[in-house]
Amino acid sequence: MIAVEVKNLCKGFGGVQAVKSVCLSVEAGERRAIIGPNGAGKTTLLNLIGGLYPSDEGQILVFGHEVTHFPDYRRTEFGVARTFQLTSVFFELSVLDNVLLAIQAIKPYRFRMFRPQRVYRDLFEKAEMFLNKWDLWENRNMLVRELSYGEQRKVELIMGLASDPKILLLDEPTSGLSTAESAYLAELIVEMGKDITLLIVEHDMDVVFSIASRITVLHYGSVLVEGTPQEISDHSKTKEVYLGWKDPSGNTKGG
Amino acid sequence: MLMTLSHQRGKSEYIYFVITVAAIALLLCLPKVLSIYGVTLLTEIFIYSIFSMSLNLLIGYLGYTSLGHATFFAVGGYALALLASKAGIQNFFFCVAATLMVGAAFGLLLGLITMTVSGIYFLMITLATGQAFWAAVWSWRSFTGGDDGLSGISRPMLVAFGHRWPFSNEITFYYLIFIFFILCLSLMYLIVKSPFGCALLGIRNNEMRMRALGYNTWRYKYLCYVMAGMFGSLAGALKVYQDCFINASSASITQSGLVLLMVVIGGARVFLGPVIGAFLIQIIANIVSSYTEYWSTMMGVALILSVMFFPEGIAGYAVRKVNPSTPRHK
Repeated sequence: MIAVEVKNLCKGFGGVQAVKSVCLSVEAGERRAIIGPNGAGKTTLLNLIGGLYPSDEGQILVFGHEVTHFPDYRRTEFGVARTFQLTSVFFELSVLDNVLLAIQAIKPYRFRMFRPQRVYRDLFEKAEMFLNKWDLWENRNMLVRELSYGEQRKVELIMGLASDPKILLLDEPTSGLSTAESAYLAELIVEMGKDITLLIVEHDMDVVFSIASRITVLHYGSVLVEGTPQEISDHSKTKEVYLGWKDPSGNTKGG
Repeated sequence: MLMTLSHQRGKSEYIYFVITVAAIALLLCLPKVLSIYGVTLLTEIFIYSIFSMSLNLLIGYLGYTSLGHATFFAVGGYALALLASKAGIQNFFFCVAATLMVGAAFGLLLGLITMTVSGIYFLMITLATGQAFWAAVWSWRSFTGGDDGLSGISRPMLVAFGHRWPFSNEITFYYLIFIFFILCLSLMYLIVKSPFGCALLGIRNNEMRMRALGYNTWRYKYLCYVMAGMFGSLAGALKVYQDCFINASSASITQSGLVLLMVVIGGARVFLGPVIGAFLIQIIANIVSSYTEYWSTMMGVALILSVMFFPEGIAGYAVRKVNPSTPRHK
């Protein structure tokens, strides 16, 4: 089954065409990494799928449902969740409150006005599960602002996972982390259940190759090449535009 | 472990409960010892507390500072005054319900305009709608009485179970308003602790993240605005019952500024902050004004002092003294 299908997607900002008729098809359960040089349109593509802003042209389908014209908050109904490159959590709230808000987002009682949040035990049970699993239980009453940067990135990931998404969009999950922290976070991502389809934008190639089952390379807003990690690392064109050196044989097909 | 999670504030909540019961008991006994003047003043403080708490739903929880909240105060007041003086309807429950409905209708309508923007633009647009409403009230003399206002409204009379309970004297009226005060406080407490209220805090913190999580944030903001409007118009109606009079000044920018002052001086981030603010402002306005006609100067001094020494309001300062790790204003 195809989890995410993107057809001829275009998006421009003023004079810059950030995404140029991109086609993408991601199987359910796949770990798809999107790589490419700076300004290749990776984050824009992710934002379009997440619905942060509307696309100019093209279609986005999630499990066969067209969501192209749905606002971001409605896409969670189809199982789409995301994390941000710049940590985007509730810094002035406690870690526990952050997680509770994230879990509550898809509950039928999220609009309830005259019953305290505390009575919804399922919220707290699930929050406790997440906090234990991600080693944040001891810090649950701290404000996110007071956590270390690495821990804040973990909260960011929990925010993505809390709604039990079927499709999780990860925008540079390890950005700004040390090598050791990156490896640790990559391990946590690898351990995520196979029922979650992952779309990862990432610069750290070690992380990409440890997580991804398929890789799409973007270049100037278009798909340059797509394939398994092995195919991508062998591909001469990728080496040229991304890994930064020209194939000695000069064999750059289509160039 | 789960018990510790959902009941971790068990002990402090016990203390809060005792304090609340003691405070209610004290307020119930006060009319026995206070002069009539004191009782009237306290009644007014309750009404303004409801008003400032309603504004604080927007400021403290949603993070939207309004400069036009007096509109709702006047809407409620005029709805009641027109019903009582022009339509001659005396049924207390009907009048209060009608007031709330009119307040909600105004909130639903105005919210469509005001809730499309945020930050400083929200401040400006509420100032604009507030002034427009004031101008309409002021100039539409045949309907609202303009500056001369509407009078001939009598204190409420409760007719139920074949009995008639008039709230005509200051003591009985005090108890009636006290019931409304407790009722509104409890309702607003429930709201801010509910899933809805928690989501408001999330929106104040990071609206983009709330949307990405799946919250229809506009609906939350709109509903919050309507709720604030309903509580605000209830306060306005109660004030008309107390004064038996209303005029255009109830919709003025001064009124909006005054209630904003109550929230700021009391402390927007603490649930009872606006009550403390309402108390202080009313004390200054009433007691100081009996000694000097320059009482509004005192108000200015109080504002300057509070901004300099208690930027988070009196209640905010007190809470930080007890618990230094409370988050600061941005």
